[in-house]
Amino acid sequence: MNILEIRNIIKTYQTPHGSFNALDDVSLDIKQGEILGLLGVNGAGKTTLSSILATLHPPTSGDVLFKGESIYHTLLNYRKALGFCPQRQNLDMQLTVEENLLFAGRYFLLPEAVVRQRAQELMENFQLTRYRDYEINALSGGTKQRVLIARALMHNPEIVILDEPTVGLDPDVRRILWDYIKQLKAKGITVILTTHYLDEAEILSDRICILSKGKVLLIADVKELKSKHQQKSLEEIFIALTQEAHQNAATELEQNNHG
Amino acid sequence: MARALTTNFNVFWQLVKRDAYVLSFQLKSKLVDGAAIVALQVLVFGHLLPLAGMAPNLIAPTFIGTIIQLCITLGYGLSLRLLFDVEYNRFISYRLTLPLNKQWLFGVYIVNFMIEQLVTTIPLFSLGIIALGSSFVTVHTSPLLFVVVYFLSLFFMASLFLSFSLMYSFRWFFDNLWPRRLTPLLLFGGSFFPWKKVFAFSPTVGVLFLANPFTYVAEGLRATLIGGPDFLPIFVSIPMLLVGITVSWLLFSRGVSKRLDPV
Repeated sequence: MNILEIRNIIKTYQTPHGSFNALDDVSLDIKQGEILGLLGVNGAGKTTLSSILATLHPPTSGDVLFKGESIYHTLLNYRKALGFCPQRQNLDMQLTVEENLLFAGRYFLLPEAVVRQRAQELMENFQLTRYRDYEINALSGGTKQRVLIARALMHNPEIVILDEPTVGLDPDVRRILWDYIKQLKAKGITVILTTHYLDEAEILSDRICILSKGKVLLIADVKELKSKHQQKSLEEIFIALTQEAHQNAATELEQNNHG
Repeated sequence: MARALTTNFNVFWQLVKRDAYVLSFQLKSKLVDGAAIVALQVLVFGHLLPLAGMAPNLIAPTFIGTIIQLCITLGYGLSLRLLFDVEYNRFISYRLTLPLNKQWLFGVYIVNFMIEQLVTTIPLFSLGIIALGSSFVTVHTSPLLFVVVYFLSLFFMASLFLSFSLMYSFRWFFDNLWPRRLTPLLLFGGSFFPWKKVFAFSPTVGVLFLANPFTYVAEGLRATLIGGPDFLPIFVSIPMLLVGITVSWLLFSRGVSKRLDPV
């Protein structure tokens, strides 16, 4: 069953040199309970798509359906079902770790007893208990990232969007975060994982969607994709596909210039 | 519809409570600052300026004018805080994904700005005036109208400074907001002199002052707190403050689309 259906999304930005499409007619379905890896090189449109799905920015055209209904018609309900962990850490710097979680629960209108219980659970799960009274500035990058994910989970969302959750983290911290992400799937939460680490996508994702220059290059089941490409690593497949796409684009451009 | 309204209001209320919680940590230092400002203002307006020869009937209007200067300085700080957040911390991005509509979210910022300005200016309007005693000469005070003008003034300044934080780039804000926006607004806004005195001195400059919404803040507060014929009538100041609020909101909407592009 599809929990999200992305329909013909176009996102156009105006720049001093004219306009360009960060997303160009992107359509894909996201199944309930899966981990979908959104891959692409820098500037492919991953973060733009994540921020549209997180309702941070509107698309220029197109729609996103949540359980069959446009998220723009049921905005508040959709936001209640969504946990967003952005690429750039945006915790409340004026509150402690525990207060960040408590207020997050309150913003989603959970009863106070549930808020406290949930914050306690998440601090234990994410090994944050010893940092509960720490100010955000006093935390390391990895700990901040764990707080960010914990905050996104405070209201028990059905969908979690993780935008580059392990960028800049030490390998051991990355591994710990991978375990948390696997735990989310085990709980039936749908995860949209934006990453440009291909090993991460290979280990965590059920399916991957490769974006290139704002277009969907490929949507495939990771296992099927690997078996189709004789068990090559996802990295090799990714490089082959993106090179092919760039080559096709260059040939097309050349033909247009000649034509 | 009713459910959406309830959700919006409840989330709005939680955000206001968060801001009040953060403000509560600074309350002690704000009260100490407030007391120090009151003491200095009373010293200057109650003793030093009369000794320097300032006419008694100018003490009260100028005292009110300096409260507006304080609001502008405070507004700059609040504006800078939001601008810094938009540029660096991006906590506003988290808030924009909460289950409330953007209009309600921006209402949270307005309320926060207003509360912070209120906490700083209330001691001046109460303790300051009491401490000035007979130096603060009044003709006819209208407490109820004062509350209305005070509220509209805080609302106007909150809207204006909120729009400043989204209209300009970080660099432009730092380099140019004071010299190009705030200084003219301050100097040509009747903070230092009642408008009728300016008009009597030069009608052209007087008309120029009327294009500045801070003139109506200063004159509205003076007319309701001091009273008498020396200030712009309240039926001019109140509508003009509403115009100022509307224009600020239009600028703010443009800034929001340009900088945040929210749903």
